[in-house]
Amino acid sequence: MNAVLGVTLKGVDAIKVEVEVEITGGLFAISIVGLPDAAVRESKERVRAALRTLGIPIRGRVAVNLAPADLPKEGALLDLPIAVGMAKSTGALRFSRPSVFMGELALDGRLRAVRGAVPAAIMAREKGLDLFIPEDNAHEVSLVHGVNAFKVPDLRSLIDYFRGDLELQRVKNDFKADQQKKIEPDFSDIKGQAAAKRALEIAAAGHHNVLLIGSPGSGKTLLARALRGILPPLSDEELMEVMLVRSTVGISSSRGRERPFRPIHHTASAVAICGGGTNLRPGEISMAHRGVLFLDEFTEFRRDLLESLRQPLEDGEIVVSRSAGSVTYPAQVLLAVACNPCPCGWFGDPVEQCRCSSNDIERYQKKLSGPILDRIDLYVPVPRLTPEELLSLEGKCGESSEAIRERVCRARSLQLERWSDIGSGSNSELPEKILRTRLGLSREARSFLGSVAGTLKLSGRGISRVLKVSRTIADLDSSVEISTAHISEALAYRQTGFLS
Amino acid sequence: MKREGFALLLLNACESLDKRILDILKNEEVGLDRFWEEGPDLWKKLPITDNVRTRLIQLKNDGWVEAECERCGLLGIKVVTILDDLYPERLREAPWAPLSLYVKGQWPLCGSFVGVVGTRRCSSYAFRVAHSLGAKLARSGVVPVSGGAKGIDGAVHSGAIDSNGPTVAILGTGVDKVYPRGHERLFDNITREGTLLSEYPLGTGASNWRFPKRNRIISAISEKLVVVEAPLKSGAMITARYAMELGREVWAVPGRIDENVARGSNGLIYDGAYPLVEIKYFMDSLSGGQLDFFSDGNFDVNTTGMSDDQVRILSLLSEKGERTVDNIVSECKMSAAEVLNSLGLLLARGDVYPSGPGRWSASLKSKS
Repeated sequence: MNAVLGVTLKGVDAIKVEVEVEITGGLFAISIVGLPDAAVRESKERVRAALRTLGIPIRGRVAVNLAPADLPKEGALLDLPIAVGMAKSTGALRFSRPSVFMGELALDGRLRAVRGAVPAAIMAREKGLDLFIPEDNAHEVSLVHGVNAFKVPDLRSLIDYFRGDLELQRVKNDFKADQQKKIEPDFSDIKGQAAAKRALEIAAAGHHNVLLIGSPGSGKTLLARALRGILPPLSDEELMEVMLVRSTVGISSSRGRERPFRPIHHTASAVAICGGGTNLRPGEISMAHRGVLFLDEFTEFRRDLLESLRQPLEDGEIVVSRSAGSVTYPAQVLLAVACNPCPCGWFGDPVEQCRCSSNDIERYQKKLSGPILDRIDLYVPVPRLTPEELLSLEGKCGESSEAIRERVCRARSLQLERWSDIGSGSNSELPEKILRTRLGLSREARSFLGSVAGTLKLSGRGISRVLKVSRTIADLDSSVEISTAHISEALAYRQTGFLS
Repeated sequence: MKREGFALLLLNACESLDKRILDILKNEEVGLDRFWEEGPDLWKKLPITDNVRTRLIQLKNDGWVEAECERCGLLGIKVVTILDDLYPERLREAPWAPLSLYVKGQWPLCGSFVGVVGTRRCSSYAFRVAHSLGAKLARSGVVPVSGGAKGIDGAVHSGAIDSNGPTVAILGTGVDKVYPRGHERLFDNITREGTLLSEYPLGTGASNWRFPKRNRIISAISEKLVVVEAPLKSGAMITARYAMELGREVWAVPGRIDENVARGSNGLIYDGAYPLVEIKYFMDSLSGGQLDFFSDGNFDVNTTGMSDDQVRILSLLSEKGERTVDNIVSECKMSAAEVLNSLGLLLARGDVYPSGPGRWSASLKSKS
């Protein structure tokens, strides 16, 4: 006899759940055991109503067991397996192949989309099981290569299928991504800011974390948003990882290859950013996996929140431990942060006068410097242009995002090729050992760095940041060796300009 | 310490008394020895205010002077009274010279003293000027004197320290206190080659009215005074006024005329202070040399080993002043990458510095 299987989510993994149904005589009652959450417990009403529309009335005492018994089950995706289990034990259907069912039932028997279809598809593929999914989830499941999945519009067609009266449509594997949408703002829309644009190009090419610092109205947020448009497209593997997270959260409607960009407001809670909650959901940092996590008004964020970002930034994944268990979510992000140079924002501005006392500024800068700043590769000052400067730039458009993106992609493919054996996709992820041996630093560049490290008071960490960034600059140049010019450009991005 | 010294330390602790009390004592034909020996009985006959008298009696009864001397001994702090040979000569001449000074660090220092003062909230330009002024003075054997505060003061001291020269910080608190907070390292470094100096007894905390008062000492102890950047209402302007009253030469660094931050120092120039347009001219004036305003004032930077791009950028910055990368890109017709790597190299050589968010300026280089 073949068991009816469903799934429940643990982190970004789907866990197989066996659904057993026993119907005995007596007064009508349905009880569900096996640590169901509220959504699962309520499913009995949906299941009963859906079965009745098909003419399968349920009578007597129904016991539903969800095994393994000690694993908490969550979500409405268990509706379908419970319904199938009941139908099976009334003898309304039988099937021969071991199958996984998922879907939320409407009262009339239609199936609604659920979250977690991609993890379930991966699980089904590994275990060699058939998978029955709601039609609306077919889009995302079609990304998973080699899974035997069927689109189910409603419960009736499923039962007809098992009776042999109807063929269900298989989900065709289809890895074509959606058409890339044009991303606004385009780099050519931004006047001036040549230095910041260049720095963002380097950040995109090497996946380096950036800090944009400048007065209000200087264009920090605009530049950060434009960063999306020059990021290289997701590779097949990366797209899969991104879809896995999206599917877990239930926002998998789009599957374009543009990288995620998640701006976070400073009132966000630690759970919202890192993941967690009673049902353990991924947080913003995992939703930004392989893309950009953008913290605007960085200094407004609570200290403990920033501290909680340290570990995931270092490890590229985040472990969320709760009483319900501990799960690991991916968190490989490009961190972009933006802030003012001082509390009032006008420090160093050529026109406006800064009204902050030196104590204010010191306190502010103390808040800035700290563990997160240590993980920033590029400091990008964004000067607020005076009206005269803006006018002098009138009519001069910079390069378009598309042109920059081409260079970025070329540099990224160089990196992929070079670091394929150590399993790192970009220069920013390089381990310290590789930095010392395989960077391709020219002899002059090495002695130049040695001579300036002292005068510019570079720390050990500072030096390795400069090396990584200069490797990316050299890649943008398609140069095998890192020259003195590459190093010196990287040095220019270590200067905040006024944090003396 | 002799009884004379004890008496001066005691009188000094009243804060409201200065050199003029010595004349009063002389008129009454009371020597300092006797003042100390006879105590309260004698003091009743002296023409001093009741407040002062009560304070004197209280301190004497508490045995404060002996305790203070012991504390100084423990902390390695010297006390220099106005009758000491080590008391700075210029300060002694001031009509309100304090009766004793506490010094922590090296004392006496050789070399002439030059006061360099300015606002705590300075522009990054003024900060750089103050820093290099401190460094240049210290390197050529002159002792830069300032107030140990944040901003310009701190820049002057750290400039001197960076060139391993002596510097004097005149404090508005006791020399055992660190104010403002965050200057612990700086004060430690100052005592290595230079001195922390204060007229206030050990343990005196920071209060507003003491800071303008210590400015008098800065102006009196210095041969010349340089005001780097000061708004109209500021401690630096008070120092400048004292300096003028004492007949010291006052120099001021020209600042921007559209900003309040330099309105005071610019006003000094209008009123006849020497404009500090080149550090070299100021240095020449110190050594008694003739002022030579007519030699070519062009930037004279060693350009050997620089690429054409770097020379072009550096001359743009030194001729036209602060520029953003955008300005340089359009004026020098280079790409942003080229500009940035040239700036990185120039930065490493110390020829340019970031003078604001995204803005760059040429460093001060004077012919030496």
